[in-house]
Amino acid sequence: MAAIFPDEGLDYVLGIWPKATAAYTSPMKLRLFTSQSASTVIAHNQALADITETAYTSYAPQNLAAATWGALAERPTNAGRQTTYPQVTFPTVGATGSTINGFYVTDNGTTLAVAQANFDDLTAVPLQANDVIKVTPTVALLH
Amino acid sequence: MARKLYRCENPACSLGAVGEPGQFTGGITREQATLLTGNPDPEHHGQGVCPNCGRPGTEETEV
Repeated sequence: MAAIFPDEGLDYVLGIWPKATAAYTSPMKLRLFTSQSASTVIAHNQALADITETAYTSYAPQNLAAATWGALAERPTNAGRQTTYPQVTFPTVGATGSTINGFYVTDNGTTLAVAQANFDDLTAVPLQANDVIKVTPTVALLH
Repeated sequence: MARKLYRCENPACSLGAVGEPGQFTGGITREQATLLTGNPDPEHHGQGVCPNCGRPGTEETEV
């Protein structure tokens, strides 16, 4: 059996989430986690409660506004479709740092984890005083 | 324990995404402010002062 979401189908879905301001309560929150590992995330049947958010000095989650997600584009090469958010800068680390294993997205009310991901290079980021971490999130759906 | 959340409205500040106010807790230390601005006696530092640009933020909610 063959099955496919063609480009226009994926664009339709991505056009609802994360891009449609009216489809859900915006903004979602982009957060950094210290649990799991640099190359692992929660299991499919785990939840927000299983993720430990960093608490480095001055840390705060950052907003992901629905209207700010970028234009829908090809996921190279012909793998699917994607949208990318502009680079998000987190607060400069104060006195106490933290080792970051990746990032995750929660809904506006922080009631659930929408998605969780390690960094592309599968490397933890040890944040120390005066460090700044920047994340460029992408949502991709494959055909 | 709840922490106060602040928003940096400085359009030139890198905190958050470009063109959008970023959020932070706590505030820049005197030493960090000096490191950031080069001013040995920084006017603004401490609770509620943005750690990324050194300008006072606006209080938002608690997280």
